[in-house]
Amino acid sequence: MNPYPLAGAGAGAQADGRAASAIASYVRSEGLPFLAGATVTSFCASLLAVSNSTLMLGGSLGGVSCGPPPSRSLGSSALGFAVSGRQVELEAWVEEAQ
Amino acid sequence: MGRRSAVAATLVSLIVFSSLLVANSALYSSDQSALGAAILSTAQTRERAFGGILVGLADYGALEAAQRSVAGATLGCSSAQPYLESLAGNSSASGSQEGIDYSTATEWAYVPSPPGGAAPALLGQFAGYSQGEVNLAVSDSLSESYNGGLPSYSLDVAEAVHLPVPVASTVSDCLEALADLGAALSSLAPPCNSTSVEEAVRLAGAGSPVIDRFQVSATAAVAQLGCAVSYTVTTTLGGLEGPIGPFQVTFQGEGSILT
Repeated sequence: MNPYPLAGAGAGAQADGRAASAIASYVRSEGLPFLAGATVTSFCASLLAVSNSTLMLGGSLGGVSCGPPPSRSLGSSALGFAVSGRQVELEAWVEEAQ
Repeated sequence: MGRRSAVAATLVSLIVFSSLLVANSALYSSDQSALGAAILSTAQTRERAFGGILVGLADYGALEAAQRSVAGATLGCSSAQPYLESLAGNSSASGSQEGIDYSTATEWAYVPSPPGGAAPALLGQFAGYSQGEVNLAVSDSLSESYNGGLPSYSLDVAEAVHLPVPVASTVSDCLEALADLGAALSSLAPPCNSTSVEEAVRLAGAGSPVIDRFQVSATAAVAQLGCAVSYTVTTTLGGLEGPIGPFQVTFQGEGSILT
């Protein structure tokens, strides 16, 4: 089953890949010890710190969300995992060019 | 004449229509191929991106298991090494994320010397080998596939991680404290009572740079011409930072002499 409509689908797929890479970069830069011990406030602040006009990171920690997703995006990716008994959900959205 | 024109017009229409059909089909096929390539490329990107995190999580799980084993334990100053060498474990995990099916298999064990392998960046302060601490060699095998098929991705990595427990320095201090205490207590003579033991311990503390880092206890009893003395030194390292929070480890040394 093709997840992309044909028109502009290549760009959407590429944006999904970029979003997945952004999640990996975020985890690499912050480290698992940070995610294991962070407060929701510091977790959300760290996501905000690496977001910019073309890439937005969001997620939730222990079920507490950092905020809603953007209304529109070209591509996205999400990864959920447990670390030290805490559920971490990470999402990234590649914004459409303005 | 009119009929010939009509036939010719029809033939031209057919040729033009067929050409358009072929061109559209080629374009559609080309789009499909490009799209297929883009989806495969994205799946590969996801597999690599998520794979690194999954390996890091497996390493973190090994550290957590090691911390659960060590936290609250009492290590003998003369037998810490055999205890540490018994630390080992394995785990596995599987799941699916955004169409990426994955499985990991992890084995870990204490190592007394640098095992080689990378220091995983995801593990922050626990990454890599740290001289004299609780070091682990971790082997991870990762397999991923996209919706159960291609593209697939697999990875076998050996990594070094550690728990920040200063084993070597604490054992060294412990053995030195034991030796200093034993030397001080060796001068005990009958009646070998608690007063003389306390005085010997006090003198040992005054003359040793390490004894005051330990809790010391000693007992003595008359034996033949001298005293049979037993003594212990104990220290608890608290506030050690592990992957599942602070923990503590106790080190204890024991000695006995006949004076």
